[in-house]
Amino acid sequence: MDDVLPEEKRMGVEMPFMPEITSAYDLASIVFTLAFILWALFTIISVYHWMRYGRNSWIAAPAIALHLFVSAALMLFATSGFK
Amino acid sequence: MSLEFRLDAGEHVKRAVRKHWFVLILELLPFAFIAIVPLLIPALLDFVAGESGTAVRILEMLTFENGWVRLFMGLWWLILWIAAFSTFTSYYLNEWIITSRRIVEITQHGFFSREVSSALLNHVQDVTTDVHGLFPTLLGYGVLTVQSAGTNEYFHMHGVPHPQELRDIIMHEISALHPTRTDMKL
Repeated sequence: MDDVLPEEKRMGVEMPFMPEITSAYDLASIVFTLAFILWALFTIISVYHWMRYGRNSWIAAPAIALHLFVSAALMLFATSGFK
Repeated sequence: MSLEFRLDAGEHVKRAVRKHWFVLILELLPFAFIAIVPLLIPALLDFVAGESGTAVRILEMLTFENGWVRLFMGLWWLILWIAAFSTFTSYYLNEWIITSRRIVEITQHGFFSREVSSALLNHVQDVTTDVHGLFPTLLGYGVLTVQSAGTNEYFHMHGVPHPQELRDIIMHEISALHPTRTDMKL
């Protein structure tokens, strides 16, 4: 039939400035990427404050290291369900 | 010790204090409770919906074998971790410094907002301590209020450890700045 959309048109929804979402994996990738960007912004700002106001303290480096370690563990956990 | 303000000639830092560690624990506890709330949802659903087919199907999906559950829980805990770490950062960057001439209050109001204010000890009119409640009494923390004369300004140090000891330090430094009439005659 002529009115049926071609196969490539039915695969996904194309929107300007938006990545094509064709599977749950794509959606999970977008959600995780947004979360990662927010986390990275927070981490940069937080590290800046520690370095500027608390750099002479012995606790600054372990605190930043702990933040990076825990965050990495949680991000690995969050993505571990998708293969 | 590197300071955010310049010490005058002959001025010494007598004590630098932050809030008591127990106050930090109390501030972090809500994050721990919020972290486990999603884990209670399956039990709650099981209790409410019982053996209905829909509930059983949903419960079968709400396991850590499900990638979406892992993603949600991982991001949920990540957001809570960020909030908790932000609380700790704020706790650590807030400080009171007592020098031989003044009291300096350093307050971090969130990110990109830091306030450093001073009260000269020779303007201090009244120093009050308040240890109120079970945990403050047992663990030895409370509120130290310093009233500065002239400006009628108050410094409230909430949750500081051993406020009586800090009051004694402040009073000692004030008395060192204001020699008694007997001393002056000598």
